[in-house]
Amino acid sequence: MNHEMTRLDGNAAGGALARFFAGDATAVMVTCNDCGATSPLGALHLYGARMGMVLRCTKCDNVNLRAVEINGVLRVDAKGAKCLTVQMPDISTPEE
Amino acid sequence: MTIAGEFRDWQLATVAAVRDETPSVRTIAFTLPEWSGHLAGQHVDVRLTAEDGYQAERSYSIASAAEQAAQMEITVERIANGEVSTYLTGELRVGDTLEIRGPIGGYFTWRPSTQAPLMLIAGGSGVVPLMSMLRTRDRSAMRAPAALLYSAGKRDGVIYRVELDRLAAKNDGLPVTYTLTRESPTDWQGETGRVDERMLKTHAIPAELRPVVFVCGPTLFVEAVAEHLLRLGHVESAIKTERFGPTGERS
Repeated sequence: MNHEMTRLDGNAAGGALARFFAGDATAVMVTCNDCGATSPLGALHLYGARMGMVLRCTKCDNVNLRAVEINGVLRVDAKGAKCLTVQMPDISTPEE
Repeated sequence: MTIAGEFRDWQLATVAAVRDETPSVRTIAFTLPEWSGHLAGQHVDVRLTAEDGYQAERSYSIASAAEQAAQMEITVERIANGEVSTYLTGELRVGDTLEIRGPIGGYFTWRPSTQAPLMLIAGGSGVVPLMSMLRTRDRSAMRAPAALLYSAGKRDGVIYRVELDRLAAKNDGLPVTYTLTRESPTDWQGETGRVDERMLKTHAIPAELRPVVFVCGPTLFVEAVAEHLLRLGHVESAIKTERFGPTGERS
């Protein structure tokens, strides 16, 4: 197995973070608390693997989110994100 | 009520079929107890557990069409020394079970009701989620204009070649262009070399038509293509990217 720290993107963190975001995490908009850039979580730069994930701003490389899973506990450190925004489902038009 | 693309936690999936796409790429079809379809572009997490309890987890893009709910297919490229991909492409048999979580993703997804033209740019096995989009489009009554630019190493490594040629031959607004980066056969009709601005100008839907652009492939490929697209006037918010690399073993 290749243990090189290969940079992926936040799409690959979607499964692990789904519990925090009532389903999909990758479309959650993350605003960097350093440079103020806003980007979908799925597009952030992802470093690390399942045990410990670091999501960095694509503009300034500031760490926006850190997620660690230990002994069945998933802990997310979001102090590098100024704001998390999620689009509410459109309930005005019922599903066909 | 079930919603297509609804996330479900780990469940036991059964292998319904396997199909070799290229010498190193295999498609695996699963049946799942709880599955309400997916959105084109989504992926699943696959978890293998060894007899000693050691677990390995990887993400793989869904290859099948969105409406196809009975079976879900992933296409996996064997990575040299990849502990999960080697097993999936070599040892897995029909009837075997493994754990799957998903579908996952709401950012890198496409719905057939989207009216904007659909521009797809693939590097290697990055074509897999884009194939789900093209299969979904093909089953839809509303076929937005689309184009695929697909960069592969060698001709033998082009995944889904027969099906892509068949889709393109329908002449319903889906030109497919291949480019080879590691060989240049004398009888090759497509492009050769890396995707650059000239190639994008020739084969990609121009920025003036305001396409939504999906780029999927290895990290460096995706970043180079995204930069070319920005220089050609595409807006950042219309460029959706998905990167993969050795750690993720993503296909």
